[in-house]
Amino acid sequence: MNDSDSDYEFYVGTATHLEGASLAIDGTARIDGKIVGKVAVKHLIVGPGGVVQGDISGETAKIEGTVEDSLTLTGKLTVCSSGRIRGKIQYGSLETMEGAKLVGEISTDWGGSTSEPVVSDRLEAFTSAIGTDAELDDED
Amino acid sequence: MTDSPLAAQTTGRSRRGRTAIFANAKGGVGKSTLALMMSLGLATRNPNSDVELIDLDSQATSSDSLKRFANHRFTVMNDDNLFLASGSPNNGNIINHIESEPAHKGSRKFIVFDSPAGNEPGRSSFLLHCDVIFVPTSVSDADIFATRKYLMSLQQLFQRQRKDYDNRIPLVIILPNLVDSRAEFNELRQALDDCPAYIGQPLYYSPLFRKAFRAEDDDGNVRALLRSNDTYIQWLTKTLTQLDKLNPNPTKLFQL
Repeated sequence: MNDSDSDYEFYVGTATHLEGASLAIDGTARIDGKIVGKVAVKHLIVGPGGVVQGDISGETAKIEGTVEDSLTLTGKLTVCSSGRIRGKIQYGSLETMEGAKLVGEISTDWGGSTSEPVVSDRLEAFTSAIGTDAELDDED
Repeated sequence: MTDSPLAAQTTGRSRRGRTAIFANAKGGVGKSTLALMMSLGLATRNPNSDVELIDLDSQATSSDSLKRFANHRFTVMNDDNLFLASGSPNNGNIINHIESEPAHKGSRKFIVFDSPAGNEPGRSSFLLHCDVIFVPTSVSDADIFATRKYLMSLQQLFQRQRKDYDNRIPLVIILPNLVDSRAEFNELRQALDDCPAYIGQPLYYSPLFRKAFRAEDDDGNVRALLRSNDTYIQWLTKTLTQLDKLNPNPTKLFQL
């Protein structure tokens, strides 16, 4: 870990193994150890020896270690040469360096307005078929 | 003191989304069917919402059936971490999940729990972190007796909560299910008249319910179920989105 602790809202050190976590982090998290669980974070950094397994969601991420299961980002995903991602990956924009490995279902929005729901799967087809696409009344 | 930080932490009411559970100690009253109708109703009627169905039943009827619809805005969860080895709910993990679950940017998040028969409110403190507890029941004597007992157990849980914390408790809405006639519905309403809760619209029996959990290739069974109960589902989903309009402490049974 080169940066100071104060740079991160959440830090998992190399000797730490955290299992069964369900975390919501409003800031940056750096993982140099191992974490298994559900993590919602603004910016995720997985260090060279770091491992994250579970459902990860957030805005941006820089991956130098390993991420498995699902990674859903609205913004940029950076995968460094030592980075490994396996599972379901959704990103806003992508930068990969030579040597990076991405395995699994990888997707992003196919241009157009990002607020348009994507009609590409069973739920969206089902929604169209039953024809009740009216918005709910707001709670106010 | 519902605006206090404690209230914000201990109830979901202050968040933009809503957390609902379908629960009753009695089996066969329609918890899974109604959880299916609620979760798919929310997902299809409001494409800009995130909906998560959490199945606390080890039989996994609703999660097994609905996972085929899962996508970026509709998630289905049946996770061992939500149970203790005894089979009781893991309150800590469930509460953490409810409180930490973020919606996608700009979305409303709805969490819908389906729960197994045998739920004991005394061992389910996570119920206090839900915005509403929907209690389905049929009109049979056995179901009415069990439902009364379950409602009493909920009241005991709420009394402990009122004593320990000065904050809001979940709303309780009884859902008459498998109803044959208006007369039968009135009979049920009369039988539960002294319960401090709300009673919802009746859901009339239909053979479509028998096929609700089949994964047909074209989803025709679920489509027919939702279409034929469109008015009811509209009422059910609106009730969830407009909970704040209800008095949080009804003193007797109120018809919605």
